[in-house]
Amino acid sequence: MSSDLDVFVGNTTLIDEEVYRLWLDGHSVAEAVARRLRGGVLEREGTSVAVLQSDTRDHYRTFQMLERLLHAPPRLLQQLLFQIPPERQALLVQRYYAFDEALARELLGKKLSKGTKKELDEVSARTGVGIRSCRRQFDNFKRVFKAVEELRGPLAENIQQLFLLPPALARDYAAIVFSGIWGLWERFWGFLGCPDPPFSSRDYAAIVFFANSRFETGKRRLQFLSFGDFAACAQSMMAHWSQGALAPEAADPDGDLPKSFLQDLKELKVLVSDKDLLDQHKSLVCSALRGKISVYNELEANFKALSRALVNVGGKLTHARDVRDFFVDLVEKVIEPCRSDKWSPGDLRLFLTHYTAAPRNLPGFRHQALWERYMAAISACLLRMYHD
Amino acid sequence: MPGKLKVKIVAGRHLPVMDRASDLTDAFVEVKFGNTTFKTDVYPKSLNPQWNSEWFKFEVDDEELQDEPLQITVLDHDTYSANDAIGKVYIDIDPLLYSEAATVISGWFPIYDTIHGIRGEINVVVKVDLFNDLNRFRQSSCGVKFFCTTSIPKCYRAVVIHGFVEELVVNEDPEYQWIDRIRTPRASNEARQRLISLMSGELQRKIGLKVLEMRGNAVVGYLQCFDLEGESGLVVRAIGTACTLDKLSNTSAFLPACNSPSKEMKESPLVHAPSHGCRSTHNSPIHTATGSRLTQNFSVSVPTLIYTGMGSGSAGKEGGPFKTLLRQQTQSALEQREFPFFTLTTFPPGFLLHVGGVVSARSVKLLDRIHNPAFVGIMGNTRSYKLLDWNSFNSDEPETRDAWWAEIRQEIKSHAKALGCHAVVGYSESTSICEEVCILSASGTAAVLNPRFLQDGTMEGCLEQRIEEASPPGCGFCHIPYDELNMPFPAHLTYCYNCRKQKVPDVLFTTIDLPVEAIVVGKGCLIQARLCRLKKKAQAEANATSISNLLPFMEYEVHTQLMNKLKLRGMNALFGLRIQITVGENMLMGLASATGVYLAALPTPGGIQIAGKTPNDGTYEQHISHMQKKINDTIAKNKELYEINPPELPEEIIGSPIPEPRQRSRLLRSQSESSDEVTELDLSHGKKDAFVLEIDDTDAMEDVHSLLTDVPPPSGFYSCNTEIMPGINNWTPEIQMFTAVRVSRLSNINPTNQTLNKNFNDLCENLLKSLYFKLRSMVPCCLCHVNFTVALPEDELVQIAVTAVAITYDKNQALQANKAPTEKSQQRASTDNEEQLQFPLELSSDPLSSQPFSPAKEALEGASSHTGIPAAQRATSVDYSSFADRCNSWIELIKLKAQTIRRGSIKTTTSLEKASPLAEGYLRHRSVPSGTNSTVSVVKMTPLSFLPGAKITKYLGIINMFFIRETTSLREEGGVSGFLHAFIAEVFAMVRAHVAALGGNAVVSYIMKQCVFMENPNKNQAQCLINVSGDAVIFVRESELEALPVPAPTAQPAGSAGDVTT
Repeated sequence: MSSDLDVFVGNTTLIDEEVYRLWLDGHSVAEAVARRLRGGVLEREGTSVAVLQSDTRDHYRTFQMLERLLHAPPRLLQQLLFQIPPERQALLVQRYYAFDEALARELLGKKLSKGTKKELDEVSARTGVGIRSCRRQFDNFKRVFKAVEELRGPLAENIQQLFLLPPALARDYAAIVFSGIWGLWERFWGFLGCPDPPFSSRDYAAIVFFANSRFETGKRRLQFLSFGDFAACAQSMMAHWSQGALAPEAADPDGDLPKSFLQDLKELKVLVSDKDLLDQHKSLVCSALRGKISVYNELEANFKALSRALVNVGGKLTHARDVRDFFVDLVEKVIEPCRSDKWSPGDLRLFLTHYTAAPRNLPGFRHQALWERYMAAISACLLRMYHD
Repeated sequence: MPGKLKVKIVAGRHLPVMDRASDLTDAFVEVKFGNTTFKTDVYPKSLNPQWNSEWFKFEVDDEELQDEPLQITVLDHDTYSANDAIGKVYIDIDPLLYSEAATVISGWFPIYDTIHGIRGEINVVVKVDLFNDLNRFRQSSCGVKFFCTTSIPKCYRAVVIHGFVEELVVNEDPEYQWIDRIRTPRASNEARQRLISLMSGELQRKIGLKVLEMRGNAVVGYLQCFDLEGESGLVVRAIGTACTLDKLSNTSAFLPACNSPSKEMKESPLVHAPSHGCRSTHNSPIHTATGSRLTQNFSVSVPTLIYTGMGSGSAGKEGGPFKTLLRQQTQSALEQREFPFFTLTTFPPGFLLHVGGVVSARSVKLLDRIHNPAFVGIMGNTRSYKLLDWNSFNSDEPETRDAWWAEIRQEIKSHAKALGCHAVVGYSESTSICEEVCILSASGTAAVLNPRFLQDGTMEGCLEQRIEEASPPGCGFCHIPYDELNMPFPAHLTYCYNCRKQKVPDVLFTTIDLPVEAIVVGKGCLIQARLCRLKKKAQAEANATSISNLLPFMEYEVHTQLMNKLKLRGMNALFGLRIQITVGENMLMGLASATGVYLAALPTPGGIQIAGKTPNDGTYEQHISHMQKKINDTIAKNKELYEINPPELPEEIIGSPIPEPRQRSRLLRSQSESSDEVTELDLSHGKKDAFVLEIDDTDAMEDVHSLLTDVPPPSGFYSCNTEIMPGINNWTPEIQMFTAVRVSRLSNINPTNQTLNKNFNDLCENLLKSLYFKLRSMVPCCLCHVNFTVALPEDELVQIAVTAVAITYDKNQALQANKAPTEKSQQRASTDNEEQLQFPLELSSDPLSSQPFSPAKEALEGASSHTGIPAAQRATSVDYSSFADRCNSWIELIKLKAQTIRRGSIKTTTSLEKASPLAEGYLRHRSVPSGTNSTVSVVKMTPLSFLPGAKITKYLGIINMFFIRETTSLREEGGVSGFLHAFIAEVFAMVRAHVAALGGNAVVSYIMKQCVFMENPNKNQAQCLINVSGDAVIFVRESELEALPVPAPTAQPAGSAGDVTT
């Protein structure tokens, strides 16, 4: 006796988290049943495979009906078809929009185009994320992008409102979505330049990441960096570099604005271009670190190269063209040399602390505040990125 | 008396895209009532239009108000072609016609299309102004309240329970009209939906008129069903119990209900006009053929399993005359009525005196096309469709159907009489139709009732007290109502195990809920009997005959199964018994569901013994003994599972069970007098102490096996089909109502009864299993009101629909309860009883006085309420020592314990009562409808009449909805399962939306009365009809009630009152 029709509908819609995850991962009903069987439900509940199949199919049907609503989460809140408690609704949305970082890392800096979607097969193979799940996540990125692309105002917040995502997830979304767009660099700075920015500091991580379009992230030497590394770097850059924009009342009314900040970064070149300053800087740092650092000799030998690299990275930030090399430069010119000299993270931290502090005692160096602000972000990025 | 209906269309949201080019919609709305239509402006290019219309006003008769639904159609404006309909909303405005129910309907309604399902939502506000306030409801039945709940609704008090009301209306089914060939499926579906809506309204109005005629003001246990008779038409019929209800004012809520009712009751109650029952039926279509009784009427009565008795012969000495008097009184009260039936399943304390047993009647009828024609009393444009054969226009259709039902009811009545009962409670009617054959079924529980509630009067006051004295706590209803020496069937009687005074049967079957005062041991469980019988395909009379021939065997087997399964669980009574026999093309299916319990008043059931027919065969014997062992093990296991440990009774008490010489001498008399009301089937299993199953062939073997295949629910689960689960009373508020539907194909090429039985059994068992699995996160919980419906939509297809509610309970408390389950229920029962105990004493001073008793009682009432003595204290003042000698010391002990418990409970309940006026206002305040509020309020649904941990503060009106859904792209919608899943979800959504719009937050007594599913996979089509009903209510959590006195109304949405379940 085969069941042609088999449905179960509750007044409150039943959501099984385990089955939801299986569905999100793109498993077919048969695969999901197999996985549940392996999970040992049968033994725990003393039921039969047929029951499990029927249950799984029921849930899958529910999810398929819900999917339409999940594409516009505010509708999920207003719809009358499914009575779902708020916390369950939140769970549905969050899980639906959650993404695999490996996948996000792959998509970082790519256009969210049909072409990219066609490449998802490869991406799926590389990341181990199921192809159906890849497509769903890709579509999520694209949907979020389309929805907020034309909107004014803070992106992460827009995303949060339109898709009812928790702040952290919304920020990540802003990051990825806009990594697919070229030409938003200016807009990004425009945001930073806004005298009364309607967003809070944490949103910058998101916003910087849309600017990611200009950061080269796909090069081989950057492969070791995870999505989380990029997100953290972006966050610290924005946290330190846009202070003026964040607290306009504390800032110089003429504008200690990021644009001028970036412009001002050029002034720091004096640290490497002026031979005296460079020498004095080196001796200050070296004397402070002597005996405290295991790689003292290497430091002494490489100081000038390192310092040049660190300062020049900042100098290039004004030109959108050069910005893309930001991460590459840091890795190529700082991280890799240190790594080959076997610096420990502690060494790097100590060095950066003293390297940042030393110019205070440099006679004739007038950009102390600017320097420290610049180095705070750079140090944070380097420390985050300094791993295998 | 006219009224003014006012409608305002506020806004729409999430409309579908109707213009592919712009991805937008130019929506406008048509508002139609009766023959008047208004339109809103077109709101261009938006999926979220804001019409914010003026108030559309309809000036109409109240008759129209009752019959017609408000019809709201959302359309897409199209300049060049016809406007496209997006969908419709039907709003039943009946709740606005009661003075105490909802005052406004306002909220978001799903826009429903029969082809596409829900397409967006529309915000509507509806109000009604009834003119002529003074004489508001006199001319029509507008003021009569309807309740689906089969008990007296929680915030009302029954002044008088008048009795049975019924009505039916007939029309031609639009689906079968000639015009259906040329109109679209959508038009056809909408015509049907509208017609049924109209017919329901008309039916309700007519019933309302009958209620007014009986001087009632409400219908309780209202059950409306429709029969799709195909070509021969569409019948909408309803039954209910007319009552006079009083809204409980909160101060008097806990005083016993014996104030004299309003003055209008002075005239003796009218016999309700025999406007239907006595019609002569000249040309009943079926009489034509054989003229034999078989085709026109077949009936089986089932009372024989029930053995019960108060036996006037053995009644207490001084109780006797009273009882006789009482019986005369009640009978005279009831005999005035054509049918002393009650659709209620739960009764006010003291109402139900004795229960006789289940009575049922079935009748096989042929639906005849020739006489089909009429559409009676349906107004509006339906009439214009119709091409009629004018010869047949003088239709007698409703009379025919009426006569059929009258016949069956008559039979029920006579069965009840044979059981010594003058009334039938827990009464219900149903039909099963296949092609032109229709089985009409009615069943109920024969009972003896207390006349106090049946009619207002002053004279029975003293009688009522007497009878309460005579029937001891918690077991009175088990005592046999018939003369022990003149029993309608052979039965095994013993003295009641509780009071030792009266006779009880060894097993009791009923269709009602377990009375609150009943003393139960352990927990209850769902018991089902399932059965299939093959039938040859045949036409017309031959078909009806073969069905008629099969029915008695099915009834017999269903009862055997029930009895076996009951014994297997070590229980002795069934409640909520519902036997459904479904007819299909080539088979009949029987499904009986009931809740088994162990009643402390009835004897311990004997075991089951297996006897082989072929002795002297070693292996066979061995096999038999093996099976016997298995059965014994199962019984032992079940007793443990359901915690059935009846108290051991001292031998001498059990001792002399049966008649003393004096009574024996009267045996002769009784035999000679034996009634001619012989039941047609003797289903009794005689007076065997242990039940003997004889295994004479493989069939019987199968039967025994199938007995043992019923798997008990997994741990943490209990199930029952009654309102409350016997033995569990510590519910927590989490509930989950659900509907599950399965259609299975019986794959056998050459099916036999055996394989069919097995298939059917597996189907039901698997369905239950999958329910347990689905709801595993709610453990520990109980499935209550499990309601199975079987249909045979096609050859080889079986459809089972289950609606039930899962309720969680507190395990820790349950554990405590486990320790002394009997005690607990005993206590509960005896507390209820104590309330009654206080009166007999007052009475004893003047027991036989002809002076009306109620004034004295009122005085007492008044005194105690004025002085503010809590009821508990009054109860303590009662010296029930007069009972002590009658009851054994064990009962006494329990009563003492109950006393202490009672004090506490009274205290809390009164405090709740005080809080409730506040609560209602509070809730009202919060549930102010707000169109802009985007959060959807939570609406709970439950088939029960209550919500655990909550108090129902207001009934807003009846919800009775009928929907059709059709698709021509079945595969695209996810196949049959996808289609039905979506449809059921949509039905739930529409019910919730209507309740929320009425200002309610729950539906109680929810029932899915019909789910007709048809598919044609080859054409990629499917159609489904669903009919649901229930009572919209406002409830307040008890925890919130307590918190309320601190008035801090927050601006929360209305729905926040309801906890959310997962």
